[in-house]
Amino acid sequence: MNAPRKVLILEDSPMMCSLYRMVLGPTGAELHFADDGVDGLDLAAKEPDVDLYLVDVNLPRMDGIEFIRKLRGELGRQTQPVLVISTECTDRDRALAVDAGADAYLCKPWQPEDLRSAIETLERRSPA
Amino acid sequence: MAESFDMGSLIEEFRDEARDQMDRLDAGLLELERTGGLEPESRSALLRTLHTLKGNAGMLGLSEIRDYVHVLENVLKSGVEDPSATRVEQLFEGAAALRSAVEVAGGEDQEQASRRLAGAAHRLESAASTDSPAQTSAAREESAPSGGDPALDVLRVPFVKLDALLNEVGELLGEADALLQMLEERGRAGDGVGSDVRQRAEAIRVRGDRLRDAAMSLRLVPIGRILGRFPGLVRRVAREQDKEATLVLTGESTEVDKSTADALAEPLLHLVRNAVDHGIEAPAARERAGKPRHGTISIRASQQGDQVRLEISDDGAGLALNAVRKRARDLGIVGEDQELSDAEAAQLIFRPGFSTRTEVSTVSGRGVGLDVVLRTIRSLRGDLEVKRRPEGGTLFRITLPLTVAIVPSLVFTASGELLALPASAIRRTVRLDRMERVGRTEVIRDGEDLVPLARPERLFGWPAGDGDNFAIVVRHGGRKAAFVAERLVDQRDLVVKALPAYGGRVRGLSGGSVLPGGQVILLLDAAELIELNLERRERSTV
Repeated sequence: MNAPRKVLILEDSPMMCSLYRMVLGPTGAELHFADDGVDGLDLAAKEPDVDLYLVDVNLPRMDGIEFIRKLRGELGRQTQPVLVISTECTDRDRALAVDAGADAYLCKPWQPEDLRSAIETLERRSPA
Repeated sequence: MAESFDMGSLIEEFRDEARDQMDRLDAGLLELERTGGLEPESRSALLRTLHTLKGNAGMLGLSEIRDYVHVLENVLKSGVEDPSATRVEQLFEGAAALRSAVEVAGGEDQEQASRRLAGAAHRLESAASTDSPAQTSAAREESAPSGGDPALDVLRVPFVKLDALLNEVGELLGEADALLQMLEERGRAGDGVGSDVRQRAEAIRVRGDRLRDAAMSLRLVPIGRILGRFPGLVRRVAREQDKEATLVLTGESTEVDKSTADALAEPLLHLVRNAVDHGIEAPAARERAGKPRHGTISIRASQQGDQVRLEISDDGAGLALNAVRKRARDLGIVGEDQELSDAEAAQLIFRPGFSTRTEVSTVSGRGVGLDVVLRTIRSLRGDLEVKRRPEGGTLFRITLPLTVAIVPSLVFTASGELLALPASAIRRTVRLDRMERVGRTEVIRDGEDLVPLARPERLFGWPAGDGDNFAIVVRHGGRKAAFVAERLVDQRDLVVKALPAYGGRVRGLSGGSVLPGGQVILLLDAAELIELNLERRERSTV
């Protein structure tokens, strides 16, 4: 149960960012925030040792799906776990995310334990 | 469940963010109203904003907000090209309901706002399902409110059917009155009519009154329906002038007659624009005056007995009454030595062509003055006054009858015409032989006051009646007139219709009522009668 040490969160809603701080802050993880895909890529390039990406789909400038594609492709981050978090939860939405390179998909609204257990599952799967 | 989060701090963050999101929604709706559509770019930006709002509301368990935004998203996604006026109103109404729900989310008043929002969602959705059933059916299944809420069980009825119903109710009441009168006359003449018969007739009249009230209530709609567009409008107009202002709405659930609500949209728009344009000062000037940079305009709706009151106020600089007085002198409306009270001076701004501004404003100018606003309100049988607020700023007060289709009236004849005056405006009726003369003016004494006679031949140019017997004293806004009548017919509820506009409205007349025999009763407007009487008197003494 290795808690991630550095998390990059792509989220443009200040309220959601607070929520992530509330839930993940106590785990001692270092949280970095970007509010669109473009800033997210810049930040990812600067922080090569991120060990978990939390990605909202609905973002300005570059959406979360495009971000993941570029993260895996241009930046070559193939192994770090990516968790997509979205209000859209159809099979098609999930397939799109997985196709772009996401490892798991969490639907909004989620509860703190949902987020924690989704992260734990990812950690177990790919001990980074 | 949202209980697992610290709702207290999150809800404030939610609100802050949502206010911003709703500003963008308002801007989008204004674009839609103005241009009949949304540019692809603003459409996708708006959808993204709404999506975030929906997600946030969902996270906090604010399900009515989430559901409303979901329906709205579907409506916007399915295309809103050239929306009807009703559709636009509906969208603005929903936006206002959404704003209220956001403001009270997590508080004690949450439930009522949620119900209203659920109602707005339902209306938006049922209209959408007739537009394009395929695209919204999924949304309906997902967010249809659980059955049994009477507020949501709605039937749409064409207006003509309601009018037909009201007409019948009016006729029925007329018949009941006639029957009661007949029974009374028979009784007086000594023809025996059993008290049981009279009791039955009275019971019919009582039931008829209730039937009328029930029928009238079918025409009532919440005023909030036409107010939804104003918060966005105020922010936009203020921004255009480098001012800061917000609009606060209260009493949006106050009900008014549907036709009144429709007719009020334009005058309210004018008054609200006027408040931003002439009321609220520039931020720097406000700071110098020791006020917050941000101006506040408020629309407060309330029901007072059988009247509806709408107050539009601002915390701006207030009316420049001395400039008004000077202008009145320059225009020759008042003499050099005549002193106007604050109330009298304020009322002058409703005069046609009266403006103390030399430049024409691009905002509320547009060639439509406050005189037009006043005329519209009067045509709804309402009244408009303006005053300085003691705490600073200006207050416009619109008073309207709750129901417009049926007017309790006194029916009488004058100049051979069958006329009526609304019972609410009548002080008393006096025999004309108590008339006195003060100088060249004919007056009737009403308590302490000397009330000038209003003769129909002078007001309307009708032939003088033979055998004028009565004077009906009417009052409006502290002024009176005594309208001369030949014969008092009876007091009854008239089903009033607007008069056909042959070459414009006749001042002093506010509508007509057709009797079963085809005879027409003209309904007089007390406020305009008093004004006409003063003008004619001024003219005849000059």
